[in-house]
Amino acid sequence: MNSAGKALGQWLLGAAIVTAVAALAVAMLLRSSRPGGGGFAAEIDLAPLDRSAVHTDGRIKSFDSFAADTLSHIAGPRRVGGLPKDFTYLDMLLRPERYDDADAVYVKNRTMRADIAEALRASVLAGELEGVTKDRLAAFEKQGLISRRLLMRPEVTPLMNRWAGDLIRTAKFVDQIEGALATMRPESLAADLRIVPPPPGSPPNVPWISVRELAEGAPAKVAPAAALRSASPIDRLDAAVRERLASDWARFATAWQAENAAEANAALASFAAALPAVNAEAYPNQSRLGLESQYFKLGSLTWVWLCYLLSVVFLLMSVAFRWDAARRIGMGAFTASFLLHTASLGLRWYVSGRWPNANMFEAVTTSVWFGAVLAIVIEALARRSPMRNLFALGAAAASMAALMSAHFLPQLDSNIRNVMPVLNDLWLYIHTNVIIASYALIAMAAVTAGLYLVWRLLGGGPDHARGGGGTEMLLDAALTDARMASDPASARRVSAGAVFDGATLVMMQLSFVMLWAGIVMGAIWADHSWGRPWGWDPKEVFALNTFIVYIVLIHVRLRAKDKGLWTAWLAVIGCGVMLFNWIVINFVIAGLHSYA
Amino acid sequence: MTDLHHPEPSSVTPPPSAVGPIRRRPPQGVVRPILDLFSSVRLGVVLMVVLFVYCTIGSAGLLYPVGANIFDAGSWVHAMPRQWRPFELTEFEWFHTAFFNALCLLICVNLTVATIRRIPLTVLSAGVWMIHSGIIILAAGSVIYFSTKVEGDTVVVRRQLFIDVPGAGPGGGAKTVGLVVLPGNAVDVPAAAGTGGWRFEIASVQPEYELRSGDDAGKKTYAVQVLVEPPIGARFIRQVLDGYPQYTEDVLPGEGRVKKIDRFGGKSLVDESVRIDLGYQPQDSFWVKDSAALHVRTQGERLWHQRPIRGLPRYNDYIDRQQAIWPPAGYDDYPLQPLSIDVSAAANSDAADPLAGVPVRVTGFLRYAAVQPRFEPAPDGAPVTRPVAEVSIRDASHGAAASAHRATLVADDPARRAAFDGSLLFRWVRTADELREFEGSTEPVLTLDVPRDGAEPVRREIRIDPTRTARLASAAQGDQADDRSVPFSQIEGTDVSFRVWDVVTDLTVEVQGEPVTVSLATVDFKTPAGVFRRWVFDDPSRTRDGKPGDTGPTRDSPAPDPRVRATFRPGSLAPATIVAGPGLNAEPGSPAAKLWTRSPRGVLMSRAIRPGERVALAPEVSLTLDRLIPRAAEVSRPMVVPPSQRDRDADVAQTFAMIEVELGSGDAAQRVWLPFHRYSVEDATLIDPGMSRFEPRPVALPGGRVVELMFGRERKRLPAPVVLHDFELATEVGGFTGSTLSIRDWTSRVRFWKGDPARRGADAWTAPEPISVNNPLSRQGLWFFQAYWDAPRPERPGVPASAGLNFTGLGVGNREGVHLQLFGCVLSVAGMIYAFYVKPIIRRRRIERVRASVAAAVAQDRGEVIR
Repeated sequence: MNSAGKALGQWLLGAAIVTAVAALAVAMLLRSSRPGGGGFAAEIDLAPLDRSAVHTDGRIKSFDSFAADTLSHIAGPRRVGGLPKDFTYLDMLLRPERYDDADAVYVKNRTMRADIAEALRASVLAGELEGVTKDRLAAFEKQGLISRRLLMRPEVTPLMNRWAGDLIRTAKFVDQIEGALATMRPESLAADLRIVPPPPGSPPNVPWISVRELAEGAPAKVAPAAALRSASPIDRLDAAVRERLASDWARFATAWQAENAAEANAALASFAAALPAVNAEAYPNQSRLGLESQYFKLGSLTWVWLCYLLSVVFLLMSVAFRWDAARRIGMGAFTASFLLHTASLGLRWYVSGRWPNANMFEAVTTSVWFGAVLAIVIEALARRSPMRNLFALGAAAASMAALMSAHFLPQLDSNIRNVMPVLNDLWLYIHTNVIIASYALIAMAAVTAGLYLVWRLLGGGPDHARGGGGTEMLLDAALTDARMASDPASARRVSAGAVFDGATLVMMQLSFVMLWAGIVMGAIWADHSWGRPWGWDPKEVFALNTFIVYIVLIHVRLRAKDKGLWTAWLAVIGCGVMLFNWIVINFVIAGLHSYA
Repeated sequence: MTDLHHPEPSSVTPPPSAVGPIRRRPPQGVVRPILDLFSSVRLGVVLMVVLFVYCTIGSAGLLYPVGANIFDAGSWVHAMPRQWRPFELTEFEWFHTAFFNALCLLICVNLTVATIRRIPLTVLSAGVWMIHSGIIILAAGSVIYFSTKVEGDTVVVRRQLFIDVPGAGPGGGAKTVGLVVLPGNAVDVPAAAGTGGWRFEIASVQPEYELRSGDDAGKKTYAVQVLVEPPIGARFIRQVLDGYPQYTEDVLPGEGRVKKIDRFGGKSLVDESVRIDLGYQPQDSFWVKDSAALHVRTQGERLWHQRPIRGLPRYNDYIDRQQAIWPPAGYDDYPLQPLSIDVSAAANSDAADPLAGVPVRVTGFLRYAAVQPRFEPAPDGAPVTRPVAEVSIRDASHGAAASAHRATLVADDPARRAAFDGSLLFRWVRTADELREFEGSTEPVLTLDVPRDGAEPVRREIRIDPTRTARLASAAQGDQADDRSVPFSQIEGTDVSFRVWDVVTDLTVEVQGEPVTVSLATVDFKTPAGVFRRWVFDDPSRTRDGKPGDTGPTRDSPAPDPRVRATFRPGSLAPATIVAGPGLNAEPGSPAAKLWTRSPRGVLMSRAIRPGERVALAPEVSLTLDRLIPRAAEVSRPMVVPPSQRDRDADVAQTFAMIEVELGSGDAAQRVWLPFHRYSVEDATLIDPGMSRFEPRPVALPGGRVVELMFGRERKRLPAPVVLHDFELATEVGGFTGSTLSIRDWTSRVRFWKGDPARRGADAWTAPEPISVNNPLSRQGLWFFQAYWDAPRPERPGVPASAGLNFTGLGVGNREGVHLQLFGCVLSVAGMIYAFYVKPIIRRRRIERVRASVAAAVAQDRGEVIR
């Protein structure tokens, strides 16, 4: 193939990839867009309410953020009937009868789903369950959503009783189901919807007023367990204001129940418009609420993984084919992805009022953002070295994987909540950021190590970066121009294996220092938080284990003949240990760091 | 392929360990191979790999397949080797075994020898020296830290009441008693001879009580309501406010504040001679984490003597005979594993130990168990025996998932002879006469008397079929039916009609804390004055009226028509009744027992039933008489809770652990099971029941002396007693919602005793100092940190409801060697930065200098040649 044909082939391949990623993006957008849902659901305009503030568990958040959070306790990651969560919340509240037999309760455990379906199957086949078909049971087994009516069936009750008795394996899932059933009760939904700010002059520890209190007045305080809860300020609300809000809400509820969208929209707009005026001082910034609403409507921007995917594909092509155009496109896509990623992080920071690193979702997404930042810095230093683009590639691949996890795994809950009291400390920002940045570098190093292994698999020789490794290769880059001028042939003679190995070392060395410094900082925090710097908690032990893998790597490199291969394998193993620490230790093995 | 970026490959080595050949002349003899071994990088790598494997196994355990399909989660087993019987180690202990310590020592020796022998101390290798030195300093600091480490926690209760009780002191004077302010606490104080006694009980605590009087209106304080029951006169509630003694006042239950009642003439107090003040409740001890101790005291004494138990297992059960426990379901033979840990006083120098000289051993351990009484066939000569039936009911309508519901029925005990809400009854007939009597009174009888104006009252006796009550009829009509669908029957000659809603036989209820067995009929009446419900008890004094539809006689509403009189006599039969006993066995070949039921048409039937036999009660409901024990004795043993039913937090905290202790030896030895106590305190009022149980076990020693034993954690003295001045809950916007996420911080303000006995009151204590999350307090070598708090809670069995904030939980620990550890860490981090980022620059500059000098020399040579 001549060079023109090769270039054409490369461009066609690139175009095909772009088209595939674009098609994937469109498919995802179509899947997550607001469906018609029939006349009423399509006609109703919840935008005014979505930008209204709701008080819940020490936070003031936008209504649709609140609704998404609440619905996640009922329907898990699924949408009920394909409808938006803000609509579903209000529909459950105002037309609860529609949800008696609607598949709305999420059963997380797949074995339990299969057992429930099996228990119901005989009744379904006998036609004893009106409206329940085999297909519906199959959909339940696949999606996990089931109706309250089916959960209350006598065929299911003994199963639930048995599972509730198994505290180790199944009781927590039964608790989740019972919690979902309790949450979806209209009285609970109305009591939880604290949407009216307390009247002016109220102290900050007074709860907001719920729509239930608007209609029924202050609830009786159940003493003494509720003694520490502040009384509802509903009785101090100006009577005229209260009457107007109650009247608007009642009008909205009546119109909703009658499926009169125009009237419901008008009532809701009036209700939402009146809310900030109740207590302008206590009411949060409307633009912040709007941004919060947008943030969740945009799916927390976790779909940025698609942009990173594009970047990864083109950067890989540039590595494989030494195709400069692919490199430029890849770097452009990486830059665009990084900007979107930064916007996502910044938006979350602004909305939550704190740097996002206090739960698993935030730690994962922020970690790879740090990786991208470090990749950009290193790329700037290595712009003339043969290792250039590999750092961006590593960061793009790690970010893509992390954001995909955040997008697809329900365990990574994107809802914004307050942090646990123990995390209200400066060291959260120092220790955690250093550690998660080192984790990102470990993942990035595993990417270049993986490239090295592929290169060896394809017949590459046992090459490795010489001398001081990556750092010296970076320093060499500064001399490259002069070297190229004096001996261009020799400067190009660095093998791909040495380049991959050098890039791995650059990231490994940086992660080595940061991981150890992060562990030390964690110990300092633990010393003044828990009274001891080191307690052999599983999270601590596996952070140490990751570090031990890197110690082994450094020392094996001193003696091994095939330094590149050992380095690559140990970098991949180090990444595996890091991921084990992050995933298995957090979700499976209980410890003091379980909230991290 | 040649790397031309690095022209001198043989001379360069990667950081951080710029390892070179052994540069000093090695010693000769046996030392040399040892030094060579410890100079080896390979040894270092091997040791690090061993360390990695050891850490992994100790922290995460092992995961190994047990099935062929490795893609099925069920084919994998997760095991924690450190919890296996040969080890029984906590995480902390696993990382402080001799093996681990030796491993760390070898690593340090390897690091030291290799550094000294292989790495010259130069500018280039300074980073490696710093890293290795830092690690060794860290290890030295850790030796100090972990070898001196003491870690535990303590509970500091906020207040106690000082009560001056009139007439209770010597000579009829006042006596001051203390009462710790925790929900449910009470103290009884004998008064002067012949006048009974006083009782003071914490009625309620309001931790954030808002003042409504005078200049202090709006302020919040800690308020305690004390129910005072004097020996003579009406009881009253005294409210005491922390910091505001001037607002102390009494309330008469049902009448309101005393000062508003005329007969008290505007006075705030019912009895001014009763003085109640709030004061600090000092705590002088803390309890060591993951420790075990046997606490002993002579019955009647207050202070415990402590015997640490070394090597007590934590994760596996140890018993040496089957009769020691009730095994969990599925185990006929529970694995036997003897245990013998000597906790005799020999190792203790406490001369006042009441068990001094008595051999004491721990002979059993259960990780998660609860003492349960069960019935077993009594041996001959047993003092108390009872007829007992063990039955199980199965409901096949629930399909394969249906599980049996079991019950143990004790015929002689009214509280335990019925089960399943009175649906099943067990009767024991000793003679033929008793059997006849039983058969003659099978049905419950409701007697109604309705007076009539100018005429004889109407009396009607209704024999009730318990299987045909209105409640059951209503339920049988399906979900759509309500109780209005069941008709009333008119009492002839009157304007009163009625229906029997329900009948319950032998229902055990709690009345003023005591179990009472009652039988009752729930009857709805309809009269011209209205409809009402009456619960007619077999004991007429308990009969109550209520509204139609009320589910229980929780309140006594006046009946709209009080004319109707009703009495109830329970029948000898429940819907299903098992009858057994010698009275049944008058003839040879008589059945062991008979089961009395009613047919669907209400016809009374009886049939023989034998142990193990399953009998149908309804189309899908069956009953099995599992065991019939004519002479049963009640035996209490620990029941091992199946692992699947264990609460994870309680399991980790060892809340339900038990040890078996053997006192004495030979024939005089006696064994007792002791449950775990998180806090071994002197009496039950000192600890919140939600935090720890208080169940010391009395044991009579040969000779009649009685000692009390308690299994708990090791207790240590604090450097100085500490008190909780106040406790603050800082919340996020909107206040506390019940979720931890609505809490920003907890702050305990504590004071320590100054140690001067001459100082009294507040002057005896240091100024209040805060301890909050991430903000510990250092005091005399110990750090105190905020560990947990007293959260509000609803009432649950054995634990009264609480508004919270009555105590704080403080972590306590020392931290010797921490600064050395920190220095080592900082040095190693600095070394890494130097080795990775400074050294290459230095070396690059040197290379460039060499290159420049070589180039200059070459140029000079060329110049000379040219010249």
